[in-house]
Amino acid sequence: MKEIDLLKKKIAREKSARKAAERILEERALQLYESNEKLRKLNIELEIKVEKRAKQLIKSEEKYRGIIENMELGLLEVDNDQMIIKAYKWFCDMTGYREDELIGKNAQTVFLSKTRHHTIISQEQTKRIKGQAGVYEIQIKHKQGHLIWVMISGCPVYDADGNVCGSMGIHYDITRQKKLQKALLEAKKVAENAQKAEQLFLAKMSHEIRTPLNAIIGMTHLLNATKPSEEQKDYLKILRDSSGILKLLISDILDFSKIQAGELEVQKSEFNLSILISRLLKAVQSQIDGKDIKVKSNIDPNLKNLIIGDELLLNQILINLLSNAVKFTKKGSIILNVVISSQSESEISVEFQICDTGRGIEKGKTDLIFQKFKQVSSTDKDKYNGTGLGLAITKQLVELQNGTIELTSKKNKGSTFSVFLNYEKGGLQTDEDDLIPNKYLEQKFNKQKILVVEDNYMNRKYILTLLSKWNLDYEVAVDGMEAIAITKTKKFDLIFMDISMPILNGYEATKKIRKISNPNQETTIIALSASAFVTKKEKAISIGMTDFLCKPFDPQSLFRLLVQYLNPQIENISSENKPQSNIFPLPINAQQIELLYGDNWSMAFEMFNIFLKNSLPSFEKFKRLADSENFVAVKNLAHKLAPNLAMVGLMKTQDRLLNLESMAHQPTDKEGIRKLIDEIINDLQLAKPIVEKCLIALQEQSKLTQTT
Amino acid sequence: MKGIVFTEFLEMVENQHGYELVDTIIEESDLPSKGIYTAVGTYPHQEMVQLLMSLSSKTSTPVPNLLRSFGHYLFNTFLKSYPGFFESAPTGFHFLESIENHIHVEVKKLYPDAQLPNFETQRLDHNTLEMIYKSDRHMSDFALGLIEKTMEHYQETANIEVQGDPSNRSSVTFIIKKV
Ligand code: HEM
Repeated sequence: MKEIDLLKKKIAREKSARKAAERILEERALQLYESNEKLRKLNIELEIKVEKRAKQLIKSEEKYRGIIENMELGLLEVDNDQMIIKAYKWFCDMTGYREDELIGKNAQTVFLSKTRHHTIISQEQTKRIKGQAGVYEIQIKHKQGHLIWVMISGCPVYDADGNVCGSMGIHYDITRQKKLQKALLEAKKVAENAQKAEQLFLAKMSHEIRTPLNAIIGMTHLLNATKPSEEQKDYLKILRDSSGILKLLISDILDFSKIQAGELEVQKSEFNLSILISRLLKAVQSQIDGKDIKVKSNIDPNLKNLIIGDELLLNQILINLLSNAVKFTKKGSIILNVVISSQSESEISVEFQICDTGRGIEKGKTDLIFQKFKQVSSTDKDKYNGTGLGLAITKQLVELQNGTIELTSKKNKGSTFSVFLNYEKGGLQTDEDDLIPNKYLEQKFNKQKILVVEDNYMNRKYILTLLSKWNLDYEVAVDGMEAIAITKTKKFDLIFMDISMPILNGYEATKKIRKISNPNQETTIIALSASAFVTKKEKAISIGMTDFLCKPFDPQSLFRLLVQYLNPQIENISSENKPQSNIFPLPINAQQIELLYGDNWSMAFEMFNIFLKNSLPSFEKFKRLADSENFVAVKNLAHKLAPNLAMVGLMKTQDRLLNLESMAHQPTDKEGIRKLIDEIINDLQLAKPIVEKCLIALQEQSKLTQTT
Repeated sequence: MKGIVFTEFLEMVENQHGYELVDTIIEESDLPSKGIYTAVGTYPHQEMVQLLMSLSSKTSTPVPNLLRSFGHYLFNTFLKSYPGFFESAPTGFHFLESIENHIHVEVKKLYPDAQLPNFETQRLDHNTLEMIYKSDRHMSDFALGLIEKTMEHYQETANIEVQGDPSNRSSVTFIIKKV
């Protein structure tokens, strides 16, 4: 019974427990249902949101794609192995492929042909994997096979975990730019070549024209000296004028090209502006040719100093402007005003005004005239010869010296050109005239041996005629080879060497003469060249030539060079006591005199006079002083008199005197001192008559100079 | 405390002593639930304590011993019902280490109102695991039973040293040393 009761109890408990469990479970089920409902609603809301978001994304992607595709930018997306994942429309258009032809293909194999570009791509690829962007240019293959240049801006693409999973390249077609770039480069090269050709042409032309021109001018000079008839004189004048014009034309063109090539340099030296102006006026006067034109100059009285600047450039500027004035003025006046606009202790600003009463220029055309090859009226060419370069050159020459040029003009009233230039101030002006007096040209040399190496017959003739006129011996070689052969056998005092010659040119010949053993290894060699280019001169000097003479040259230039380089020879020969046409025979050192006085004969005269009157008698004292052993006085006197000997070019005696001075300072060798004094006195006895002769010659010279 | 603990406990008593003792301890304890338990319900922890006390006097067995053998008993139930937890742990130590951060975490998901102990484990050396039990329900002996059965299940023999203040059973340290 008890067991039945227990069982009953157990069943009752389990029943209750089951009911409780069912209640709990039902409650749970309800909770579950409610939760489920909530979840469902949530889900629907989420779906709506996702759909909305997706629509927005599509819209913005479309928007950006539209922008990118309108921007002509080709987008290509690849994975880390260069496999194409997506190719955008513009990229497809650019390369000629459809997108489905590209997807899954290796971009490198499809598009690259040059190995160089493969390396660029792999370099970029390593950058991409490190997460770096990059911009580079390569050539890619179009489907049709031709190459197109693209600029690529590449950037890494990341997956959801933030790892680099590929890259996106924005391609921009730069084929046209590349072509243009190449064309420009080529054009530049062509232009450079053309410029070189032009320079070469000018150099050639300069030689080809100047050489015969030199001969014409030279021959005209010589013909003039053959006492021509009046009729012949007329012809000669035309010949001279025409060749003069021709020479001007050529030098205009050459100058211009030189300035353009930047080869012209400003070379400063001290010069006398007043002398330059007076010489210019004379030159202009000779151009007037019977026209009723007065030419005069007004120089600012405040101009008291020499000025330091480029004399040649100034000369050319003023010649150009004055010639221009002459050309365009039929009658009236041409005035050159030199105005000092300001000056300080060291600097001076000068304004040059060239005023004419010519036909003038219309307002508005004044700027035109400084331009290359422009003449104001198209009919001018017929009336007025000229290259049309003159004023353009002038302007450039002025600007080269940091100056300015202006033109004020009234039609039919005349024009005024104003040139403003700044100079450094030099020493005070003296009245000397640095022109070589004509008489000087009649001086004779003493049969020194000259070798003329020149292939052109007429040029040769010109030089040889002058040489023989000046009492010089000469030999001729017609090319470099011949020159080398002759120099091996004979010693010359000076060689004129043309640069451009057949067989062997002047440079090569000079190099050989300087190198191989021959009597002329040290001989002065003067280059003759029709080229005015600075570089030619530099080259000539650098390969061993002594100096440079530009063709065509006038007798004066030739003579100057001969005097400069043959002077020591004159000295030597005159020591043989031959009658001398040179006014400074030995023992007088002519170079020293030239150095001291130049062509200022009157000053030399005065100094020679003083020497004879005052200094010379003082030398008598040496003997007495030495006898009384007053060596201090000997020393002082020697010191005082030594410079006086230099003033008359008695250099050897001066050396002895200086020697005496130092010996008397410590008079150990008294015998030697006495002997030296004897030698000095002896020197002076011999020199005295020569110095006296020179004094007379100098007097005549200075009178001559003053009257001309 | 979850119903399953009560139903399993009473089943163990019925299996070992017959339903009469089950009835006795229910009747002797003044239980709000009247001894009607279902696995899906939740009941006051106090009722378990009462049932244990009652069983202890009726069987003259100390409560710790009862809890320990309940641990043994319940381990088998766990083994049958949740084989997955055992498969994922290769050794006894691995299994014990996974209670705090894996097994009881899953329990809490299933029964949000479950009251679970807190375990801190640390390997002292290759063969020694320290396991610190912390709970207001003072059921470390139950834990000891479960640990013993665990090692047995993994066929690993171990000495289990129990450290702690006997007056404060809320924190007990087990040093499990494999031999
Ligand atoms: C498959 C393995 C296991 C499952 C499914 C499981 C599940 C449970 C459940 C449902 C409770 C009751 C919670 C409540 O009534 O509120 C519990 C409590 C407990 N479990 Fe586990 N358990 C497992 C393994 C273990 C092991 C191996 C230990 C021993 C170290 C352990 C120690 C305990 C203790 C001591 C309690 C009592 C509550 C307390 O002391 O605060 N459990 N466990």
